[in-house]
Amino acid sequence: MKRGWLIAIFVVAMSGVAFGYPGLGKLSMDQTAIARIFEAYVEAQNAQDLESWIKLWDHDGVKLAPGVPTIYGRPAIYERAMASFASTLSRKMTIELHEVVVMGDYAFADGTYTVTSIAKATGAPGSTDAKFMTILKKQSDGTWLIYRDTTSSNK
Amino acid sequence: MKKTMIIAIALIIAVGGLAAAQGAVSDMNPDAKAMSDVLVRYAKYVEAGDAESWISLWDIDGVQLAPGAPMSVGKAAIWKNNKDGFGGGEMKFNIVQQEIVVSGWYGYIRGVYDYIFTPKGGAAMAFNGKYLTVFKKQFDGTWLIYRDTFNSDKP
Repeated sequence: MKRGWLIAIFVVAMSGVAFGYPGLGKLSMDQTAIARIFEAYVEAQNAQDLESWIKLWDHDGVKLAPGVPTIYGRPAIYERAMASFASTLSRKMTIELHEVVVMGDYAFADGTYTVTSIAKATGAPGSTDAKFMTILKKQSDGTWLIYRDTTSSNK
Repeated sequence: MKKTMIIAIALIIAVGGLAAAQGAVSDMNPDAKAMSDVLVRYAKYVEAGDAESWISLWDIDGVQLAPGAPMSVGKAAIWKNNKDGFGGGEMKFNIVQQEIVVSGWYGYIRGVYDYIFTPKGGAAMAFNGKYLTVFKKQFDGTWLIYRDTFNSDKP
């Protein structure tokens, strides 16, 4: 049993290294799981895969996006993202995760991100250089989901 | 897990502002109240143009994620990037605390804010937005701002 756990921890630790967050040092299992949320976030954004993206959110998630009032709940977050995804022909997102701090059943993470995109209506290119802070909540099954998320431009 | 104390309190939903928030915090857990008090003092010091007292609310390793600029990392950088913004006119600043979560040595408060700034010899300008602030408990039991991010509700 103990050996099994040791192997599991080793595999998770190595997975963290493979994901490539050198600035974060050695990641715990929870930190690795949270880092993977951001990996999945980027993958879903780049694939414009709204269904996969919304699954990363807690049902009671709250989004604090610039330029609009607070958005409450997964259905409202989905609706707003749908409009954003629909207006974009393609997008390329990168995230640099600066820290992941686990505090019991909650955690916070922050970092910077960039997005380059092509508008569907005009074909005009767009770019974003920004930062984020996210609160994540551990679920009853041990997984983590985005609970609070806020962003702001660097320019 | 037993040590983790989670207090999620829906305080004020954009009604009543600071005075109402102060009334609601009287029944709080001491840690939640201490965090809440930091934001009350935050607004008070901003209104008074008291930069020295304001910076004393920050952890030495604090990070500010303000719109329109890269992260300010560390208390010294936060001081450098904010001290000139104090004074210069009359400020009416209102912070509404909508959610407080305490978990071990960390906690966060989410809410909305609005302020009216009247520069000397100028016309009043109104702003409103939302914020997410992470606090860290110090060894002496006090709480300081560890991460702070905010953005405008208007495009």
